[in-house]
Amino acid sequence: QAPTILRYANAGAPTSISNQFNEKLSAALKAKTDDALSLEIFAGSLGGEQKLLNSLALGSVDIYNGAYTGTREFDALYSPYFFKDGQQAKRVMEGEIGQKASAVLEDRYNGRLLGVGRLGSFNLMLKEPISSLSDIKGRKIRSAQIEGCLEGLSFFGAVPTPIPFNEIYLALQQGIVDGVLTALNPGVTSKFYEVCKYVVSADFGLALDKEVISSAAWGGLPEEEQNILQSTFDELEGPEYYEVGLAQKSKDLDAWAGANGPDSVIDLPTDGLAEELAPLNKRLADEIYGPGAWDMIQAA
Amino acid sequence: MLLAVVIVLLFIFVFLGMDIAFAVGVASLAFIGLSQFEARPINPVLFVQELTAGVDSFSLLAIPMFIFAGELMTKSGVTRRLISLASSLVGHRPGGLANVGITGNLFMAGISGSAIADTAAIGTVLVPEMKQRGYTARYAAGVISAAACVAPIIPPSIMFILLGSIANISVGELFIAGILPGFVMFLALIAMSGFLARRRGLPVEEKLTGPARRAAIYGGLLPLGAPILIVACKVFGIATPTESAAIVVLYTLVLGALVYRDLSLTGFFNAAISAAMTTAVVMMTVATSQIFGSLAVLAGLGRVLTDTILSISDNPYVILMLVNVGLLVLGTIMEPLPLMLILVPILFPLLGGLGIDPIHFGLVMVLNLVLGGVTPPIGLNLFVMARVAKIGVMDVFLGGWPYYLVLFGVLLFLTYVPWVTLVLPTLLMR
Amino acid sequence: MGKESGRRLTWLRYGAGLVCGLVLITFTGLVLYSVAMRYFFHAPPIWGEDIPKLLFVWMSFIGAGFAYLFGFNIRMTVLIDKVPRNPRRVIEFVMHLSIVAMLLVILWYSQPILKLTARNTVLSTGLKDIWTYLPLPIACVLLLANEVWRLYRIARGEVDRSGQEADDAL
Ligand code: NA
Ligand code: NA
Repeated sequence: QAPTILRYANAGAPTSISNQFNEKLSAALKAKTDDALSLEIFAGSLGGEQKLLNSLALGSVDIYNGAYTGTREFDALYSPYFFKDGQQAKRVMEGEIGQKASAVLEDRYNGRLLGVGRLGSFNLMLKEPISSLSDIKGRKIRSAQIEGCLEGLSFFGAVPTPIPFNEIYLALQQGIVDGVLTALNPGVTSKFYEVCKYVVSADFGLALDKEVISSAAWGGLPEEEQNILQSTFDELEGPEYYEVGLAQKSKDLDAWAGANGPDSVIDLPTDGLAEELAPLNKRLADEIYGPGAWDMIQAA
Repeated sequence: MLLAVVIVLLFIFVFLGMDIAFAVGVASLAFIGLSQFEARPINPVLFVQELTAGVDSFSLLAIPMFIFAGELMTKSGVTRRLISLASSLVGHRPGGLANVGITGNLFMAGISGSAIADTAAIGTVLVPEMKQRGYTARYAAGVISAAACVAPIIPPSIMFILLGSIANISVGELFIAGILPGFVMFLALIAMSGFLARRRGLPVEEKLTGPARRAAIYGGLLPLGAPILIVACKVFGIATPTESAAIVVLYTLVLGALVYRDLSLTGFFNAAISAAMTTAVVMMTVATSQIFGSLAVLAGLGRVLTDTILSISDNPYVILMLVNVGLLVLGTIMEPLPLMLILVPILFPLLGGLGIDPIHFGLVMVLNLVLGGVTPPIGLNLFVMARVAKIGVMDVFLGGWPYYLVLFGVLLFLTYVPWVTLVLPTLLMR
Repeated sequence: MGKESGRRLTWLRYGAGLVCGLVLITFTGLVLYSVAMRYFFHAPPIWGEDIPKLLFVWMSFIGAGFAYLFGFNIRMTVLIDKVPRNPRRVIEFVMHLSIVAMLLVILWYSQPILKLTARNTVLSTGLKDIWTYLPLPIACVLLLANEVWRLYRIARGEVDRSGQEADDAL
């Protein structure tokens, strides 16, 4: 029987954590199935996330990995301190909340959530320094159109500003925006530190990549391969996504400090931030997942 | 293999006179159809999805807005004043208005980040004027389409920003690296313009004296506000590159309607209609070309290319030449962005391993891709110019080829003399 | 073509162009509005990127649909102009047929895309994503009408006009 090669697509560069993870996933699948199952990686070459997820739903791509889902269920999770840490995020996504979210994906895109990849933190990158998060009040911060990010910025009084991704560099250089909120690693890859001096080391949200396989591709796999695919993803996600992401954060902050000097990495005390943001996160959780959802997340 | 069949099909369709947007579309669809007989067929739905995805981009908004501004300038006499000013300064030298166009593009290059935006902005203003003063539409369109190639080389540049993040190299260094090569391109174009003017006896503007010259200069001051305004937008952080196109529309509107009072309501609407329809036809081509990029990705074009190159040679100078030739060939049929996405992750490690500076190669690659915009059958720069000048695509190419040739010369020069590219970044940033 | 119907066509052409021109004016205005709101009032509208982009997609596809109908195009006619009349007609007939096939494929495969995007709401605008994907099939209908008209003309013994003539006709 001919080997199955699934088309995997992500909008980022081949060197990104997400794509490196999937290279390893593919290698592991190949080894475990005697070359019967593997992925062909399309990194950044088939378009933006929204288009890729649509491609998955329509059947021209088999596996999607990315931040975008266009669903409130996933977008709320980006709100700062929605999760205490990555461990809790994993437990929540394995529980009832995770099931509700993946049901929405199934319904909307005809895809099955293999799992979430914990990529690392979202961070604020700023042209001028701050001494506490309340200092971002009134500043224009470019953000992706993700509900959790927008709510988090508005919570501190910042002005979320829409700028297309490929014009961010110039917008920062010219001072059209005062900063960017994005996942740290792509911010460093896109050289934002060249035009934006400061980065706030405190997490401002947790980046969760969604790894989704189309129902058609999933249904086409023999049960044995389905099990191998699912278990291999689950096994590798911890060491090759989450821990790589954690290690990358300090490397990325070092790169930032290397370019702009040690004072360019702003260390803010993070105690109390989770409590401060709890009302916002409770509102989002209960509104989207139903009453009691926030308490369930806290208990996880 | 399949890809080669489709490329041949595409050329046949184009040269048989099929509309280019449809030729690309039918050829791509043939590819998808043939892929159904292969192990992993391509879903035809991709075809339809890419059509909309190709147009759904904020950066492309600059095209209709700059054309709109240009139409407004022409309809309200702003252009006339601007040209008088420019020609009172440089028009009496051999090359006349062609020099004005080349210089205008150099100024615009420092403001805008894309060759297409510049083609639209300068072309809409200058081509009608050059036609009126006795240049052929062909020649006028040709020289401006070539001059617009300076835009992505002189900073700011959208292509450098994309390259910086795909290849993981400094955008700032790329920007600095582009300055000298941009001026080399400019000087080479001016030299060619002077040469052609003498050779073909092209018209030269009369050198104005005293009061006439002063009148031309004063008359042109306000229209000159448009480029100054774009610079101001940049310096004071008012608007992104795309947004500054809208600001120029507003400025031109104010100038035409309130200051010179030459612009009627009908003129205003006609300018909008013309800009909208011109853009629409060009966008149809952008839409279908988008598919071609994705098909090349799915067919694994990058791998095929690396294997071919490495099987021929491993000498860096030979490889650079092979890469140049390869990019030029691919540039005839593909748009810069998909090419960059396919090739950068393969070529940069390959050439880096041979000791070639990534900033140097980055510049060579971008210039190469920019020149793809003026090579038929698929070149966005040619298409925009053809619509603006109301001539055929081949006419633009035939009018511009001496200038393109000069730019290819510059490309060779920059490929083998890395010093020109690297001296400024080395001095300023390393 | 009769004088009366010619005049009607001119008005249709102007009307279609005017609609597209108005869309252009609108999104240019919206871009200006968001610049002003951001720079002077520190309150950029969250739809500042998405609504102008949406209007641009509409202008492009609907405009293209009408533009081809009225004879605009981007072609290379250098070679085909040298081909004798009857072989030329055959070539052009076949080419227009293949374009018709392509347009039908687009229409057919637009269905799943429209169904999918009808479910998704764009956060910044509150609009369904289908609004971005709707202009293409509409343009396809216009383009099909254009192709049928051209096939009819070729069948009646004419050939496609070259690019320059088409422009002069406008
Ligand atoms: Na530039
Ligand atoms: Na080309």
